Amino acid sequence: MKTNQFFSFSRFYKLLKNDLLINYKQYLFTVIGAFIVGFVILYSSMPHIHFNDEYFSIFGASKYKSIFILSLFGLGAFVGLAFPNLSSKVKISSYLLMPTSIFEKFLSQFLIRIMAGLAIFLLIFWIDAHLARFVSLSQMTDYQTHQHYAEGYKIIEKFDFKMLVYGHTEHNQTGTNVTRIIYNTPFESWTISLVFLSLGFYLFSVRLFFQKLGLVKTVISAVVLFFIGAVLMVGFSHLFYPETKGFDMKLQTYELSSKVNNFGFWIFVMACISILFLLPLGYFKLKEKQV
Amino acid sequence: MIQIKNLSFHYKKQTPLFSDFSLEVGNGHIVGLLGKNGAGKSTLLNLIAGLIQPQKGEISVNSFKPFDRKPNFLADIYMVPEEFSFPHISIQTYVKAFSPLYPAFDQQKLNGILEEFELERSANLNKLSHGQRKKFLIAFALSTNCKMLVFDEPTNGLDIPSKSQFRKILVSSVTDEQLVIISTHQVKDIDTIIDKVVVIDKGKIIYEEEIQDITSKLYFDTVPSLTGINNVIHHEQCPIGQKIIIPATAGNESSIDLELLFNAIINHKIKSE
Repeated sequence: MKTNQFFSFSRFYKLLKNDLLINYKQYLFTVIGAFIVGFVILYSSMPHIHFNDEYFSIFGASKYKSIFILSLFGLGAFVGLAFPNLSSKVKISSYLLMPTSIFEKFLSQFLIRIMAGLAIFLLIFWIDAHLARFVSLSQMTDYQTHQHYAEGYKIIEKFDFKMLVYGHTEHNQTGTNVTRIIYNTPFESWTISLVFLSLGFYLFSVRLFFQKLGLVKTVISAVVLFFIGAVLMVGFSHLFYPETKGFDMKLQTYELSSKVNNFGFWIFVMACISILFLLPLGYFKLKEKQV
Repeated sequence: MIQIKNLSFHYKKQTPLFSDFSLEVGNGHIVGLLGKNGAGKSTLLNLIAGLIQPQKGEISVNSFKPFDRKPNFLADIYMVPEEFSFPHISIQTYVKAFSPLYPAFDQQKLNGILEEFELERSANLNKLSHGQRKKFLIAFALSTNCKMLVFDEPTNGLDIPSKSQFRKILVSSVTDEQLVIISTHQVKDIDTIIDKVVVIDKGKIIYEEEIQDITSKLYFDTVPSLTGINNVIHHEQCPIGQKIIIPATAGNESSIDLELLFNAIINHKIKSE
């Protein structure tokens, strides 16, 4: 059966079981490590002293989002370490000779590194954020009285995934008190998510082009690509806007609709294209892999 | 079964290793693949296993194109490479993780071979010596019951008793449905188990013969001196005199000395018909 040569559920299950049997300790330590590091970062970022009721900064959407983006580097490293059996010639032979299809090999890594990785990452972040808040609130003291401060929940907000689509805050005229939080528009949220997803797919797929130090080389290649892109933009800026100076980039922006400008749309299109392009690229690279 | 027709292969920026190479071997054989260093033995094994792609020509192994790496093809081929690495797990876990991928895997056979090789199932693979790990890999390979078994230098790193155990186990476990290819420099380790010899040099087969045919044509002996012996095809000095190859006479067969035969072939004293 042709389909059986491409994908068989029973074979795929055996491959996943094989991976888990061999790497369960590594995965377990990674989860525990991520949990501890996440907790430490969140806990140490949260305030533990209440100074007075007039001047205090709220630990809310903006802070959670910054820490979340920082934590994504950890997830990126986990994704970039996909296909651990391609790190040496000896391991490559054994991996390629495993009786499963290339699609199953690719899908198993995608499922473990991206799907499960992302799900567990979000779960760990959620637990860490709530746990760190709970511990911080229980330890919060008042600067004046040195007593436990019971209204800490006003200073440290409860984490909600909605906070990740936080855009910016609007301030009143004095610039101190926040009047309201402006969340990203659905288009902006989608674009940002797709950009992160395409970066993840880049780490996952381009890693297949390298044997040793795959993650490091993949990151370097991304930096080089970014640099080339920036140089091109500077070049075009000088070409089309002769008044451009030095390494400045000039980009004319205009509104495509009330909430979408041309630059945002370009980023959105690039993220979509790279997502569609990177996974097949990785798959065919694995298919053509030789020792 | 292997069918190779007009194969051409070269590594990047290197002179061709194989050009117009053809080979056909049916099941039910244990083939000794011999050749000097750099003759292309390991490359040929990699081509057969589908680990590299030929530039030209056709390779068919058990009616599959190896480089397509179809699961059914991979489930019926097992390669024991010269160099290998294992994850940090026990033999038991390794078997639990990998054996379900081979439909014809025989657990009882594995238990028997492990016992013979004196390997504990609870032992961590990376705490075993190189020789012990190789013995485990050989045991696992034989237990897969794959139609095609490929061994690259299987006796490297094995001690003397283990080499003889390897020969015994291999001969007793291989069936007529299987094809075993053994590439080695340690020709003495396999001269009693192979039934076909293929010698390659500079990317070409320079000798291909079944052991039965060789012993019916050639006579291997050790004599104190060459005096009075006519028709010596090839001879080499040894501590007790001379090792010689002479034409066999009817009804007079000898045990094959694979090393002597190999040297005679490499020195163009013997050619296959």
